[in-house]
Amino acid sequence: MLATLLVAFVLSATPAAAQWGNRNAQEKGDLLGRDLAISPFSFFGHTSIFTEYASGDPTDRTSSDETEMLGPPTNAITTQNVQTFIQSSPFRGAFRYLPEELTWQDRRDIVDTITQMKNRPTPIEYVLPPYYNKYLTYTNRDSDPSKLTLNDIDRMRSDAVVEFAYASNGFPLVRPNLYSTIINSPDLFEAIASSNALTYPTANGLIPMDQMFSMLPAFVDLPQMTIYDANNTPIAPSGASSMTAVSVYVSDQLSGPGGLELLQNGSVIAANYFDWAATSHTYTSSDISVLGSLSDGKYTLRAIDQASNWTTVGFAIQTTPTCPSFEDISRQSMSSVIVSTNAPVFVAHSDTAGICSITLEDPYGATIGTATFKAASDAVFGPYPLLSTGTYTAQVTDCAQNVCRSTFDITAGIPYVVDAFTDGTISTATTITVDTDVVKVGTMSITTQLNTNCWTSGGPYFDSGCDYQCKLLNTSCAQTGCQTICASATPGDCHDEETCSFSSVQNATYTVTVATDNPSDPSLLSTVRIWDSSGTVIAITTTTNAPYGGWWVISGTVSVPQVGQTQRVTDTDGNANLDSYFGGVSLSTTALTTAAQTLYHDLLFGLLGNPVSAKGSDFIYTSTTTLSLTAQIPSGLSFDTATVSIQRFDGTSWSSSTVISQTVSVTGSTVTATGLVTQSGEYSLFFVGTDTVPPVTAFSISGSSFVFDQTLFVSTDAYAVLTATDPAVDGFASGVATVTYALDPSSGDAFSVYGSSFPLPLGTHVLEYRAYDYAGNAEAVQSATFTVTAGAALKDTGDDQVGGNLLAGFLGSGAQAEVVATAQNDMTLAVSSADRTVMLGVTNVGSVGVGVSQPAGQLDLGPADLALQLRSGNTVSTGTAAQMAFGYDGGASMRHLLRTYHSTATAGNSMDFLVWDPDAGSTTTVAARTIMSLQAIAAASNGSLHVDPVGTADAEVEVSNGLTTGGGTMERLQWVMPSSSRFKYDIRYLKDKDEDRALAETAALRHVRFRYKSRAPDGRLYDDPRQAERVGLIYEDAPKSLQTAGDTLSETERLANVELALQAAMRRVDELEKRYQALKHRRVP
Amino acid sequence: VRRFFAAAAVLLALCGTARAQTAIVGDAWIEGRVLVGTTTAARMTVAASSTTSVPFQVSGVDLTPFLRVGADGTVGFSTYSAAHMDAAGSADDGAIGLELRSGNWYGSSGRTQIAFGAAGTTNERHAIDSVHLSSTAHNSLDFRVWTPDAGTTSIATMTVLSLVTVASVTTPSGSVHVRPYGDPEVELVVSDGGTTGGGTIHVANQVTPSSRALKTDISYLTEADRLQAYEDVKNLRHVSFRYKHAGDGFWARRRRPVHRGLLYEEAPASLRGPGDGLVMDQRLLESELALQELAKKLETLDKEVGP
Repeated sequence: MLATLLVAFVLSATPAAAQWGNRNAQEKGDLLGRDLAISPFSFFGHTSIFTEYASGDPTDRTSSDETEMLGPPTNAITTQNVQTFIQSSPFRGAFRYLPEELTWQDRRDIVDTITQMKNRPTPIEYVLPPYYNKYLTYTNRDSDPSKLTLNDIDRMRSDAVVEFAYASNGFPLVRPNLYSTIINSPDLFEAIASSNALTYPTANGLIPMDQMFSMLPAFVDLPQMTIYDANNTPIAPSGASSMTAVSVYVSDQLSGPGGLELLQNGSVIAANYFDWAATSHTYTSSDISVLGSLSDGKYTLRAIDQASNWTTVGFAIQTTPTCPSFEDISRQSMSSVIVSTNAPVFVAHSDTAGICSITLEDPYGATIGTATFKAASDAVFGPYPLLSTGTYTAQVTDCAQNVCRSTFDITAGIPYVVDAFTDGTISTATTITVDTDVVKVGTMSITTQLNTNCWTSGGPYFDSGCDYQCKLLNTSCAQTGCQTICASATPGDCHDEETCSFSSVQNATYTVTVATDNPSDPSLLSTVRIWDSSGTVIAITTTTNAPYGGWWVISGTVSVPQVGQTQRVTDTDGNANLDSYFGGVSLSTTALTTAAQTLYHDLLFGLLGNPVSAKGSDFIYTSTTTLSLTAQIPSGLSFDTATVSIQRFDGTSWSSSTVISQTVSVTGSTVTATGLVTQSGEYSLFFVGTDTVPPVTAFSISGSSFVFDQTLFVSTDAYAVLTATDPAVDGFASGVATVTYALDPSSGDAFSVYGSSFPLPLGTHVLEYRAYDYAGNAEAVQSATFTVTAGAALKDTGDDQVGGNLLAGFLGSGAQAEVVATAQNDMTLAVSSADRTVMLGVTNVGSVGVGVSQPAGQLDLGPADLALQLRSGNTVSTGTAAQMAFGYDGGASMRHLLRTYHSTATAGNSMDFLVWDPDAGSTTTVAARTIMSLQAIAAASNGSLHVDPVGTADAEVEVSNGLTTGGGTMERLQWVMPSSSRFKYDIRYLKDKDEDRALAETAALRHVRFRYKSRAPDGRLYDDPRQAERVGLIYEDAPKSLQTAGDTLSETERLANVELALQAAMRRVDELEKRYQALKHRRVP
Repeated sequence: VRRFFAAAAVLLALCGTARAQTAIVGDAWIEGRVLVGTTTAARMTVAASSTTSVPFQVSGVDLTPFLRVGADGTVGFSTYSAAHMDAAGSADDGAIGLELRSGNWYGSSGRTQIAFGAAGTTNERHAIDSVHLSSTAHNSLDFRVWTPDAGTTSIATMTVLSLVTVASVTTPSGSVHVRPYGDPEVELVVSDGGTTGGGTIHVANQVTPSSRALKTDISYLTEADRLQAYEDVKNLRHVSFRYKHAGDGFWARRRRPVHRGLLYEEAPASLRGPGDGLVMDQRLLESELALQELAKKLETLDKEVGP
């Protein structure tokens, strides 16, 4: 009847909708499906498409009447292919297109049905359109027509899914079924000529032309939507607005606006459903109130037209960019900074939303670094190490170019203080390492040079009363002991070159600074050069920044001669002395060409630094003249006589082949070699020892340091010192040439040349170092690990007893022992194991972890055989202690409870779940209503789930109602019993006598009306008029076959008894019929 | 200890008889013990005093309590404690109040998330376990209630309830499994610890959602349906049987109760449900239909026989 009424309603509502409505309905249906998942074929796994009923009434149609478009691999199922196929093979079913009759809710129901089918746990492979139900064999139908089951799934077509969805919601798109009376029956068999395909529907007033064959989304008349802010300025799709009110203009030319939904996090939070007569409508807060006051967040608007097409646009409300607060700028160590922001991020919505960059500026506005990114969540930038004191600025720029700036101070514990001047205007400085030999020159000048654009034909000039002054600062002494090595003393003069000189060799690291007292003239200086006294440039700095007054920061690369590259100074007068003694025989320090020669020569030169005596006969060469050379052995060296000899230089190399009968002797600190020379030439005393042993470098700390718990701790006031020695072997060591080091190196990092002790940054570091000797021997890389800490530290190896309060922090709340969080320490309190694993930790945001390093909850317990143990169980049934209470929103109101009861016997053990309701008394009183109890019981299998418990459960599931044990009601759709023979044993088939007995028992049942008694808290049963009247059996009256434990009757046995009784009755009726028929024919069986 | 002291500047207030204060601006490294108000016990011990309501506290930068031990021994996490252990929280923002990480991987056991002891002891402990697996099925929350079989000081071994995910294609993905045994295939399975679905429900009333408003595709059954049901019921082959039970030996099986019913494999398709079970509601429906047909036959016979 219902179906009849629906169809009648449908037909009467659209008498003109006839044959050709089918195409549009199909398309509409497809559009609905496609809106759900882009393509109807994608989520149904469509492998083929049917269309075009060639002929015949639906009652005898078969698949052979249809044209099929095969799917892959024959064809790719694309919307384009489908469109082409449908255009060439028109669908001539009997659909009815009824968009005007469908309310918005109807459409939603239809779409919901499609969605449900799409989301079925069992994927739909074939869906039987409703009209097919009526004409296929009965066995193909499901026995329950109210639902779609596998038996209904007979074949699949995307349009069939939609047909089903329409029909399931009371709007069959097909011709009425057998139960219906057809009014204005459509001609199901009319063939539409292809030439009329485009004009027929319009001629019959069915569908707009522009929606014909609209298999492609581009042909769909989707509603158009524009979102405006409170100033009527459009908010770009996926954009953000800083205003809280929006209005939404929706237009739809064909069916008109039919609804607007506001969604957040995928859920509709507000909506307006109204079919507007006009083709456009502007939704404001009068339509959807929340549009007038949106809070910060991201939203999605879905505009729906009256044909159920919809469009979605995302946008975000971001009233003000959230600037990083102080807490967001965390100092990870005393000299590094992490900048983060918790500004709202709406990456999913917009290219113009979200965090796009973070810049860190030094106290003088110079950019230290910038990170550019598109943060999907809170952005983190850093850490930046080695920051000096001062006020820094973090600038966060969102992708819409909103800028937030926040400052923070670094005030103490900085390992590097690059500025020893007290005027507070120097920001950073460039360090220059000066080679020892060059420093010997003893003077240094600093030349300022104009920028190119400041040059005039008259030469360089300063265009205002500028004063320049240079300073050379020894920074090796760190903060407290820095010395100004030299400084120009003529501020006030306009010079393009200033010179400062110093008299002593300063083997250290220098900082060169140049100052001007003219802040208004910031663009003059561009280059600083450092000259030695001979006019050779030994250091050049370049700069890209003009000075801003005060001391000018010189930045750029400085190139200076390095040790080993320097032309070594040669002796200039040693030959004359020797020449005076040896005519024709000379001792020379001619420039040497090989490293070995240099080595030998260096040694010889060193020996000759002491008085050298040359002995011979009248200094005239003869073959019998004994040449004797004596040298003082440098302090600390012992010579092996085998390694010393007199050698002759032949212009190319040195050799002892021209010296015969050589003897070497050592007497005290003097070594003497004698021999007979056989040729004229230059002779020298050579040490010919070899050095194959590398030097050894020792690491030490100059300043405060100590070892604590097997760790070397170093104060920031201390310096690292590397001391290398080249061990002498056989009395010779070539000497340490270079010491190199690298702090916290990564693989492949270059080592720096060690010049002098150097300060160390905060934190734990690994220092790697090695030395080379002049013979080229390289020491294996050594390493040292240490931790640099700020300031002085208290080291106490004993116990500390505090009689008063113990406070870690600067301001406490008055606790006896208190640790106050700081921003720079992630962990505020840690109790660690011997191997430093955190056993109990409290972070600086208040999360507490036990056995976890990074707690993710207010209280986070790490893995353990037993994570949390609670001991507040009750031992008497009236106990009210609770193991757990669940409060609301950080408070103790409306608390649900978990209570436990314990007994040494089986019964009496339970876990009770109580849910708060107003009957508890007040919102601050804990819950009093027990909804569920998990109980150990003596009956059944020892355990029971007891709902709304009262009394003692005696089954695995006891559904009570708080009044009567087992007196509750259970609602469910289906009740299934495990029935397979694999679950059972002792199986015996029942016989006629069992059926007869069941019939007798059923016939003897004495049904009664009754009410259940209620059970008082003390277990007493009492009459209770609140109990509903029921109809049933009395346990004591019932046959034993129905009786089960706990004075209950088995429903399953009652049902079995009924079935058996029915079978017995059927048998008797059959026999009775046979006997009657026999009597009728006068035959007695 | 090292992190603790490296993390903060420490102000040690050494309050002796003169109540002198010692301030350390910098780190403190203590190789020995820190004892506040006491001379004995652990590496760091704070003895409560009657003059201070809070013996120990870890505070935020604004001195809000992160971890607070009250003078009565209660512990609060970001709150003043109203219980032995009290954790603050917030509503509606996804925050987690208590996170436990001792779940068991499916197939293993031995770890307990929460144990509930009796009267301040570790006796007769009930427990909550969790089981985890990266696929849909077999993730569960298991509730165990102590019974004497476990031993007084041991944690409960009997699982009364399991909330478990299932991956069967014919059922939803969650199931409440009472006295669980085997894998559930429907939303509520009442087992008895040895036979899946072999448990008993004690309930006065069972109802089925039946309103027309809840249903679609309603069509009334016909005479053919009644005839079919009549034949189906007539051909039912009832058996008596016992349910198999995990772990039961021969004699234990003998003690299992005898039931009467049908075998899934022999029942008509119209009665069959998931998990090799028979739908009891369908059995009742078929009986009703068969009874109608039987009544009709009797009426026909009665008319033919006449008064």
